[in-house]
Amino acid sequence: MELTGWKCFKAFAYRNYKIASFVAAVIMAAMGAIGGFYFGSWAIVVVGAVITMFVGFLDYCCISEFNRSNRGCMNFVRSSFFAKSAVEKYIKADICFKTITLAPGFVGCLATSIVKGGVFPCLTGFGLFLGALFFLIAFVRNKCLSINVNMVVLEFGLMFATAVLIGIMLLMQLAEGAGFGLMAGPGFTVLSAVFAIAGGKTLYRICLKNFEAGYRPTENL
Amino acid sequence: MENSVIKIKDLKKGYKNFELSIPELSIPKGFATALIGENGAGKTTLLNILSGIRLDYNGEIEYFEKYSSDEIEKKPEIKERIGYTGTDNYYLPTWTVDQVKEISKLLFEKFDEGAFVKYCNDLAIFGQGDFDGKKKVMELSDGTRTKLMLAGVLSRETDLLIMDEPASPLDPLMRDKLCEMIRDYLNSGEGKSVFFSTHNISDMEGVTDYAIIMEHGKIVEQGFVEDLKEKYIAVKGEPGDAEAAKKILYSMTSSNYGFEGICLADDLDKLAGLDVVTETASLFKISVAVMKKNSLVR
Repeated sequence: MELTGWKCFKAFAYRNYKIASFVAAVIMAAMGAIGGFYFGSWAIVVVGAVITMFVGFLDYCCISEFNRSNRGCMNFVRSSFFAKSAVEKYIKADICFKTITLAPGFVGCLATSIVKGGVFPCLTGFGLFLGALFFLIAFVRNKCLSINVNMVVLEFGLMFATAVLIGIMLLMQLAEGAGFGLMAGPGFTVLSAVFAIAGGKTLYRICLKNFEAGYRPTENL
Repeated sequence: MENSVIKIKDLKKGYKNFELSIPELSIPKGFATALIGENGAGKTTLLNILSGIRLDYNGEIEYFEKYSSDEIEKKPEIKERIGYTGTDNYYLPTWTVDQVKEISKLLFEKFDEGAFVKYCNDLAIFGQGDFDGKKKVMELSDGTRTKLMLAGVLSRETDLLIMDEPASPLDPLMRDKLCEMIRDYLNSGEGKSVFFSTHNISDMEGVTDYAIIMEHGKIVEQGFVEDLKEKYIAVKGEPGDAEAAKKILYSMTSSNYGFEGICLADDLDKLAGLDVVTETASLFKISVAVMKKNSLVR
């Protein structure tokens, strides 16, 4: 059977968490768009931050769940010659899924941005949210090959801090008369796209490194 | 040894307080080989290394008298020819049996879906009912999950099965069935081999052709079962002779009614003068005696 990204994603993704992640993101994006129209840019920023945190949290749940059954399942996968290829395709598909999951939030922000004025701030915000999510997950996964309660606190703390920072920046762009007109420019949008791609590549490398570490684990009994 | 399915040379894998060290080992082709050892002897580490799941070791391994261990990540035919089962269930708990089938098809080129369904039914994975692909792995008992692993691995075209404690979670009836399946597998084609680990050989003695006994990361005894049964003898005697026999026997248990133990056939003459009876020892007793002699347990 041909190994495709979709088949590998279907095989290894914890379906319930992925579905929950996407549905919640769509609902929150709709709330964000509606809130943005009525309450202004604060609503979009808050919802965007919440979506980022939620996707990250559900990703953490996936990893926690996977780690609980990790050793056995990874041995099964590694007994196949196509293990690395399957895992590479899965990781890429999962990164695409995370991007798609944040997309409803982006669409909501975009709709509000067009009405309020300014497409580029929205694009910048999307890129920043995406990149922040990818870097955060990469960081946590690198540190957290096994379940560690402290990592829950660290992950939430980092996600929240990043979301607040991005929210403030986005707020400044969207707020009228904020005086940060330059941030709305295409240059920052390109930078945020670079940030998102760099985050995605880092996440890919970390995930693959974690998988390959299983072949050569660091034992310290 | 000629006709080996796996040859090991200077294999070393170190841990903090333990080292797996095997200067030389050949696993015979066409036979069922049991790897016997107490908990922590290094059996799982060795099996994981041989099945390509662990690559953090030093040494050389030759597969099927043709491929070196360097090639295991370069040539698909090596892992395709090896079927591996682990000690724990190795399917994700949220997978359904249908997903197990799909993913096995994804990861292994020669996986036969029809054979998988047949094995699932033969092993009564769904009780008296027919194949139920929607059943989740987490809904199965430990023993049934092991049966599912066996169904998965036997549904592939392989030449070597590497099985880590396959009998442990199974009931006596299923253990007997497992022995029957191993025999069928060995007879299904020329050169098929099985290499399994166990810490309780009595369950698998009926199917074992060759035994390797490990203790604390080292091979302490090995040989074809018939040869081992000629090398070691079971000895029984009177209580009065127990003290004298203790010095000769590998392991001994004694009571008010007498003693019994295992000794080397070559040492039998040292028991001259004692009122003893000898008989063929079971592989279980031989392995316990050898492990006791080499064990760190006091």
